[in-house]
Amino acid sequence: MRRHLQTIGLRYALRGLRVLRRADKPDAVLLTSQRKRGSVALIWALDETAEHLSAELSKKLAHLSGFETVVVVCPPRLFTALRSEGHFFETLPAPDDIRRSGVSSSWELYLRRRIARIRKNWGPDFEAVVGPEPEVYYESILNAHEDRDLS
Amino acid sequence: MELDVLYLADLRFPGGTATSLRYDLRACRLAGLRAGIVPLSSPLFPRSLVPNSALLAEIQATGTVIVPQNERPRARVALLYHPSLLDRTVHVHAGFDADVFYVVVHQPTRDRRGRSYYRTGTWAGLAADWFAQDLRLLPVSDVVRRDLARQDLSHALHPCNWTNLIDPADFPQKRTGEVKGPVTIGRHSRPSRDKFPSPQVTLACYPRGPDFNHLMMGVPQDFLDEFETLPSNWQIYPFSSWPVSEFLRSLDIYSYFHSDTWIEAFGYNVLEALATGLPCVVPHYMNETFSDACFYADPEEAPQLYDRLRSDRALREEASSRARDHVVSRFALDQFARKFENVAEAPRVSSPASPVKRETSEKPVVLSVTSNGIGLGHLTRQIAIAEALGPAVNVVFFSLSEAIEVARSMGYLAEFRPFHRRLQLDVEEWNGFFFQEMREALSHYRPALVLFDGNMPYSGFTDALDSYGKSYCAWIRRGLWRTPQPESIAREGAFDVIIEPGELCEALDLGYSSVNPDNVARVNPVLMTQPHQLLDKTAARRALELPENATLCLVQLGAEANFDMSLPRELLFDFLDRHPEVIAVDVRSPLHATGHADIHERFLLRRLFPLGRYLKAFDFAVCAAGYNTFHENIAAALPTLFIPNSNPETDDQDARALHGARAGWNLASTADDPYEIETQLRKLLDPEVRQTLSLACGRKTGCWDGASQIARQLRIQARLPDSFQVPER
Repeated sequence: MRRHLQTIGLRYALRGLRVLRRADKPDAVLLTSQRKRGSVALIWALDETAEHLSAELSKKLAHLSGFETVVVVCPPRLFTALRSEGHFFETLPAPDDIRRSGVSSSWELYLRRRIARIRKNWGPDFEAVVGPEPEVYYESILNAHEDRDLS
Repeated sequence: MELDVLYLADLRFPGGTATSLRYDLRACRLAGLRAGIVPLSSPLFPRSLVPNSALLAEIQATGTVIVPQNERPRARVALLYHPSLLDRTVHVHAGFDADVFYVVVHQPTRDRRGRSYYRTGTWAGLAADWFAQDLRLLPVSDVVRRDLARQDLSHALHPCNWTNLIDPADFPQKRTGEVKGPVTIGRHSRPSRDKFPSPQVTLACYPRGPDFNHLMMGVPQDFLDEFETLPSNWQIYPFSSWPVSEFLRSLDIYSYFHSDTWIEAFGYNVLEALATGLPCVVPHYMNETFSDACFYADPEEAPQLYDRLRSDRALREEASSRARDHVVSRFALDQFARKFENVAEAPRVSSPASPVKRETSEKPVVLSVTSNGIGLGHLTRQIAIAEALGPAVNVVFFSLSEAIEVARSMGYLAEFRPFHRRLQLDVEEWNGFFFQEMREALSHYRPALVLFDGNMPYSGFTDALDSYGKSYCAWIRRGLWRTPQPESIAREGAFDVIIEPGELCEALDLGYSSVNPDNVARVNPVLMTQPHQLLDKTAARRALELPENATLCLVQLGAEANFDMSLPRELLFDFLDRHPEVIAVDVRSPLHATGHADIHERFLLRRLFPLGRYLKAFDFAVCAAGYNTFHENIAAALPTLFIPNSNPETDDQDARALHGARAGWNLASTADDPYEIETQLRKLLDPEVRQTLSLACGRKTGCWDGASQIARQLRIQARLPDSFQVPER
């Protein structure tokens, strides 16, 4: 379902998708009608550890500069840098933060639903990943049905 | 949790019910018994009515346990402390176990004309269904007992009353002296129309004339409006405008008559007057409660009694002793142990119907929701409150602020949702999105308390709260609104408590946030950093890598996202050019700065949050007058030129800067007046001016604990754990 952007063929692929998805994102509630008509890229960069945008994320953003809307799901310390470049952003609690918080609840269900809602709310034409996929990033939680600390 | 007495009580009663609970708690402690409270909300009051402050203080002073939301306490005696709480809207979520359960009936079930206050027919069913208990009633007096018997509730009546108590030490006896001139007759009650007779009868029992002065505390406006002209010998005081004991000590005689529809269940106000040793003139039926301690009369007979008492000092002295003795012997705190033993029963054998004890070691979650804002104000206050709530709860931030990293970096779990303004979305559509996100978060986190800081609770947010329906909801809302905000005020009903952090410039507040003053609790200013937590100058400069010997000027002109501060900045650059000994340090939040590079060798940039601890690093400051900066700088006694952000969407920063300047705490200038800015900057170079400002700020002490006050209040009202250290018995 997810297509990882490669460094080649972006414009071609984009052109095709624009035709396919034009104004066809009824569930993308975070897009204005104008943005719904344009292309949307969603980048999962959950494991960005540096204070600033990593080289890999910067490169990915550069590759996606043709998209009207770019949304990055990343740690919140990167928000300022992303905002200054005109991007949108979302975040998810990091596994370490979840563990440290001591909030015990159905994290598996919550994260699965939240990841799905991010996709639905932005209606991306492309998804890219810098670092692990969200499901991999949260693997210990999403597969830990019996883990008393987190389930 | 094991208790002797569990009070299931509403902490918001304004009058005798709350006062009697206060003294019960004190007496319980003196008797060596352990009391706990489950705060409930009676349908008698608006949802966010402010709790009774004297009762809150007593809870703290006595170390009374507030039963946390997730605890199921066990008590020897459980008391549902007002019949209005026997209502379908009132529910004790985690339940309780008790050897015996009673409803304390503080009010007759009907007025004198037979109009019902309660549907007594549903009481037995509600006691069984809501509290899993049989209906057993404890009237506060024989007046109530007789009324309950008339309602066919004799079978549920306990043979003893739950008599109200008082601490005579709180009501020093007034010495009876000669009355020179008119005799002072007084009364006090909550300002309800029922508490006063008709105007005609009132004039009969509180007559005009040179021989009497009538002091009345707590008079409803609709009653006063019934008079074309008020008698000149009446002095009216608002409810609770004096401490009751002081008010009573200003009187010679106490006289209390009320509407012919009202029946006084007990007459706590009369008990207070008797404790003060005042001769009391009251209606005949109160004889049942106070026997020979009072003078009983019809309203029109009262003036004759006043005359007798005025002219006969011996009679007044005898009445005073009788009144005081009666209170001490029948209503003093030492009566509590007997009162308790009268109603306690042998421990109940574990009933099969009792629900399984709910035990959990998990800390309750406080979901801290902050609106977007332009700066960091909302988030900063929420962090200050989160810190004050302490480790007994798990605070999770759920914010629309793009600076949410500041909460995360302080160790809090932090969630972010995008705000409509940056997305350029239609507000209605965005509210649909936010409802979904909020509702999901509420179900996931199951917060014991939802804490919102913002001036406008979004409909998506309040709808989600309503839909979830299981969290206690608090709205933290700073005042100083520039304009009326009826839409915002209309959303007060979504909250159980509304708290306004204090403003030093309260006097200039136009009151637009206080349309319903009884619903808004006020506390001292909320600061993230207390004055005693500040690093000294040397340590702060080292921590920020600032030169140790330079004259340093802190610059905080705000996000500038909604207001142009370019002129003040320009003038500041000119000022720096002319004064090479000064180094400016622009401290920005992570929300508003990406790089670390200094702008110039004498215009340094620091990216920092929170700044509070480091304020002593600076010799003076040039700042916008946002809530947090204004109060933090004054608390830190940092000489500051405040240049208010005058955007109409913000709070009234102009008022803040102006008030501070008039009080001598700071200098002030508008952002569009280059001459004034230049003049004020020059002043800040003068060490004497700086010292004068510092000293003036330093005089504001003992008023910076708003966050702790909020935390204390929320621990009680939202039933969060570790309310207080229980004092040693």
